[in-house]
Amino acid sequence: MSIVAEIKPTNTFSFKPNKHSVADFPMPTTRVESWKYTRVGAIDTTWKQAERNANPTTLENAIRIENGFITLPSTSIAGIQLTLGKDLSAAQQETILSLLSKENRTDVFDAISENASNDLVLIEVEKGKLVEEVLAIELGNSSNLCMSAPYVFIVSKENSVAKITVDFKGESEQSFHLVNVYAHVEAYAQLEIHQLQNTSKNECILLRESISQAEKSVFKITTVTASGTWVRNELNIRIEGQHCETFLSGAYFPKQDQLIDNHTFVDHQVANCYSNEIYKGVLFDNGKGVFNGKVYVHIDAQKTNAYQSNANIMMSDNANMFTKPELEIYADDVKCSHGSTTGQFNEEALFYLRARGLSEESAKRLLVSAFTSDVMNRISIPSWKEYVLATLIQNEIITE
Amino acid sequence: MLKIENLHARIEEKEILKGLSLTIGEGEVHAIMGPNGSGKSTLASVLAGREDYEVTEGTVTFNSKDLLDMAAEERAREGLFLAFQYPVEIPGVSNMNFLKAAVGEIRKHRGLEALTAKEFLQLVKEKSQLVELDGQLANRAVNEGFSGGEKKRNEIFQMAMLDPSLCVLDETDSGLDIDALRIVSEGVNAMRDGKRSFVVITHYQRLLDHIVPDFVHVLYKGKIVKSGTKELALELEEKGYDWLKETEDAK
Ligand SMILES: Nc1ncnc2c1ncn2[C@@H]1O[C@H](COP(=O)(O)OP(=O)(O)OP(=O)(O)O)[C@@H](O)[C@H]1O
Ligand SMILES: [Mg+2]
Repeated sequence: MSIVAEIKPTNTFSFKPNKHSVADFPMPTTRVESWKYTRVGAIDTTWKQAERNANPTTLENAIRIENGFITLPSTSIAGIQLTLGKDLSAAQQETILSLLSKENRTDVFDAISENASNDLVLIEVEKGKLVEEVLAIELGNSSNLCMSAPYVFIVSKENSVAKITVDFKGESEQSFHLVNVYAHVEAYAQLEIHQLQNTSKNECILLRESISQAEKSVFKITTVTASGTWVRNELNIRIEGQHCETFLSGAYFPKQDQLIDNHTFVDHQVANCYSNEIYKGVLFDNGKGVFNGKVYVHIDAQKTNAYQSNANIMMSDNANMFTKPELEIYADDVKCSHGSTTGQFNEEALFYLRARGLSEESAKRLLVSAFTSDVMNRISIPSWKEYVLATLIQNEIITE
Repeated sequence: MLKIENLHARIEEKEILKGLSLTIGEGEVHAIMGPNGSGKSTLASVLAGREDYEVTEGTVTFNSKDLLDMAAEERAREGLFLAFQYPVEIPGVSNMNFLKAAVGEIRKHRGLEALTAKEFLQLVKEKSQLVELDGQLANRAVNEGFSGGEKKRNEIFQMAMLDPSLCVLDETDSGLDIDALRIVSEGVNAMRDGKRSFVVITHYQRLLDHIVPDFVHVLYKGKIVKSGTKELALELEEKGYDWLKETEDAK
């Protein structure tokens, strides 16, 4: 039975004309280039469409997304306006339609999301506001075998500064998070998103993020996947204005039979922008990792400076890593570099640490935390960094 | 303290140690000399527990325990310390964090209470002064960007921190200038307390002027071919190894 079987249309996007029809798209197979290494198998089952909990959790300082339904925090954050789908003004609906129109993923998951989305929230960071408090978003599925499909829209208005954390919690035995995030960073604005995925045994995540940046904006994102049976993160960043800075990084640690796939796309449409991408993986057991990093430099995007690196350590002979950098460069005066490595542990370093009395296990964990430290150091919120590291310690990936 | 009997070891099918025997008593300092490629570092690695080497024959007893039966970390906890000929750089791992973990493991193994943060820092201060290691180096990543001399001093600093009963120093003198050689030797000498034993691997008499050995051995083609007292080192300095090689190769 396929995922499509149970789709019941919802009202979330009643204001959107021309929705795609689920029936028009096939499930991607591994013959589709972008799904070459990732089988949809684990997520292509009959999920129940998630329902709103009778008593949804309300958090004091965080947006709670439970079974795809959104509950705003009980206290507000100065400088950030939060609006649920049902409360959108006509102008806000227009904003959302314009964000959606920037993305051209037209596939079955896009159609499912649009048609079966439970809920949406619009986050607007007010113009000129420097928001010191972090806006937290927490996602959890509380019912088993359900598919939740929330949308998060973010607009960082001109010259604003904000940080958002996104925490995928594993609360169900088995469920599917189909999550869409759209963000636009206006001129001179700075937006950071820091994400942690630590879902339970049989939770799957398909996270689709579409970011666009106007001139002189800064966007930074980190995605740490500490655990998750089937995780695919699609991050598309469109750089539409000159003199932007973009930092995207991730770390992933598949164990057992887990699959963690990161597909990133940095679209340099205009000149004079800088992007810097670091993804690191440590693969255990039969873990499988996929990294596909596309960087597209348009013909007019002169003086683009784009850096990409993907490095992996294989902790087991049975783990598999598929990595594919894709650089398409049509401008001639650019600085673009990429590198990818996949290797074993540095045995010399391991022996050195053991010869000083560290157990093999703790020596390995120390080396893993060293290996991923450049990604972790990009987490600019100390409490969040601590939380992420504590999660990795708990999952027996690194040491204290 | 340490008793090596008829030790044979090989790496990738190549036999390197070919029946080596050596006994080291408590508080003794033994120098091991010998031409390049004779197996000195191999001996050090086998003692420290590097798994690339396969021991095919022989026994090694350390404080009446079977050393070869222990994993590298157990040997360290039992009190064996190897100062590497080529200390490895480990970017991203801070010297301090790593040492804290190592000291913790070793103290736990010896049934000692864990040090408080303050006690640990005090110990770091004291021991880094011993080898005049710049305090800043202790805060950097393990050996990363250290000069040759700094790496060697860092080895002796760690040795002092871990308080081993048997120290194996593999060419700790190479890459040191005269001042650094003196500092390192003084650090080592300060650790000589009549109980701790040392195996000092070196090519040169220079180091042995500072760290005066009780015994000197010549390792050649995987065996100890000659043993003597400190005068043997002087003799080797003067005559080289050829006379020993000739008698040995004639056998
Ligand atoms: N990984 C290895 N694979 C194959 N042969 C090796 C390996 N490591 C060392 N050897 C060989 O073993 C022999 C002994 O090497 P070892 O490093 O123990 O010598 P050494 O006495 O320490 O020399 P030096 O004075 O140059 O430090 C040499 O012939 C060397 O080439
Ligand atoms: Mg050597």
